[in-house]
Amino acid sequence: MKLFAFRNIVISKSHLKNIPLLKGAFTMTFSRELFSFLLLRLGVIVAISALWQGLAWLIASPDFPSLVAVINSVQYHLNEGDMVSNVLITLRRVLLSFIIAMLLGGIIGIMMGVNAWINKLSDSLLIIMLNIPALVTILLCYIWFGLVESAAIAAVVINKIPTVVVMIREGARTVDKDLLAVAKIYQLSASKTFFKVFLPQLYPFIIASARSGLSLIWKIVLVVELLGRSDGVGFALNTLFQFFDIAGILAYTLVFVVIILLIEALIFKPFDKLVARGSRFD
Amino acid sequence: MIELNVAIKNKCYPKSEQAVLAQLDFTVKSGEFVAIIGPSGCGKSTLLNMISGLESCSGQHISYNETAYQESFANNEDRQQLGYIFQQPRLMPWLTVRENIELILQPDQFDKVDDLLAQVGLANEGEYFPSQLSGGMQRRVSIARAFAINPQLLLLDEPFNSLDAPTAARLRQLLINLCEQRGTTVVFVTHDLQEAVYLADRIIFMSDSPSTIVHQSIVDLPRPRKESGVAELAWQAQLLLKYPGLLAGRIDE
Repeated sequence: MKLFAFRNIVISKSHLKNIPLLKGAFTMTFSRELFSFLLLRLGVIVAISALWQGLAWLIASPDFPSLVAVINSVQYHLNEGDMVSNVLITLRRVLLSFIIAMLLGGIIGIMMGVNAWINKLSDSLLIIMLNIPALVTILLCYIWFGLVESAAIAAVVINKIPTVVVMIREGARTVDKDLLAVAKIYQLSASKTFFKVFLPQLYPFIIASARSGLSLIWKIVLVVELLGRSDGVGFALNTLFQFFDIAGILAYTLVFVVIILLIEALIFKPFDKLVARGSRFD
Repeated sequence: MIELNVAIKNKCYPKSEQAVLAQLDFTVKSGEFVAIIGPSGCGKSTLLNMISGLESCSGQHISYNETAYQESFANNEDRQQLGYIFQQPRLMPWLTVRENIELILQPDQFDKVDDLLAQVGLANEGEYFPSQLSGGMQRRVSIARAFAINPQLLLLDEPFNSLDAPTAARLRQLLINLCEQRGTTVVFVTHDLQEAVYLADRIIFMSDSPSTIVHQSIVDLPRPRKESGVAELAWQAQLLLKYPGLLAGRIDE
């Protein structure tokens, strides 16, 4: 089966199967399973859309625009050009703070999970951080660092780190000491021990926190933008709110949800399968 | 080649006052296959963990070739001399069989993985994940892994415990072949006398915890031996007739 052909480069199914690392991703991406899964998703989406459209007709109020009106609004904002740039700006903020929060949260989580002393020391701080309202962090960041981009990113990161820490710490606590003993006996280097023996045991926890992380982060980014930025989806929503442009608000929401769904399907799903390598094999 | 000296006195579990090993003094000669038999809970695994450096040996004396073992283990340039086959295979589930062995090797040694896999009869299973293999096959991978570094000293902790009898017999044969080829010094912990008689040059019997050595016998049977050969069974019977409580860690004449 030919999967990809460009000029005289041809990649076939058998080529891909021979790359061991790709095996997991491969079987997922091109299997019938995925197809039926997508079909199911599509069905659900169609049903929700139909329900929306029907309700809008029934209610017939300007406060509840129909799906068609929202899609028209998407088209309008796309033509205006503001939507593309706002979405890109917000996406950039989301990705940046996502990466920083995952990295820092991962490092802190591993340290707390592995070292009982560090854990005792920072546990109460963690609880406090978990429970400080997002709004407070955002306001304080803006007050202390000014209405600048770095303050916005910092506010999001500070909000997200504690939840990452909690999950990764749980993973680091349950790491199999027997496998680490193997690494010690056979004198694996520190980096090999970490990346080949320790870290793979954390993958499920990392994936879980990345998933919940992305959704939390983009919600917080919008609030941050609404409060102290003059561009991005949050800012656009605020403007639309002032004009009571409900179709516009829903249009932005719709576009962003679609993007998040795409990220989920294109990045997280295949990665999931790679991570499950060797655990449940069909 | 390695000669191992062990002199342990009053070894306690961490955070405990109760000694698990009271006094153990023995030497394993280079190339010798020593089996250690003791009742369960007598500290056999602790002993192996101390020899391997997994457990602290502070205040104890474990040395090889008259060099303090712990020091060499930590600092030696060509330090990869110790193999350890655990009760469980302890393979990384996210790595294939081949990757599991390559994990402990340097890249320039990867070409010997094929040989090793063939030697343990897994030539075609290199790309499988451990979860796709039977228990016996996983055990064979862990044996191949231990031999991959060409260990001078090999420690085994009841490695064939939960296997069916024919599989265990095959693996014992495999172990003997590999050790004889390389002249490996072996410390083999078990609670199965028949297994020990089949494999070992010498058997050390330990008492209940806090344990001491209650008896040592040299297995003076010619090789190759048979798993349940007449001579082997007779040797066992003789020993147990003389010391009926030996396997429970008692020597009552």
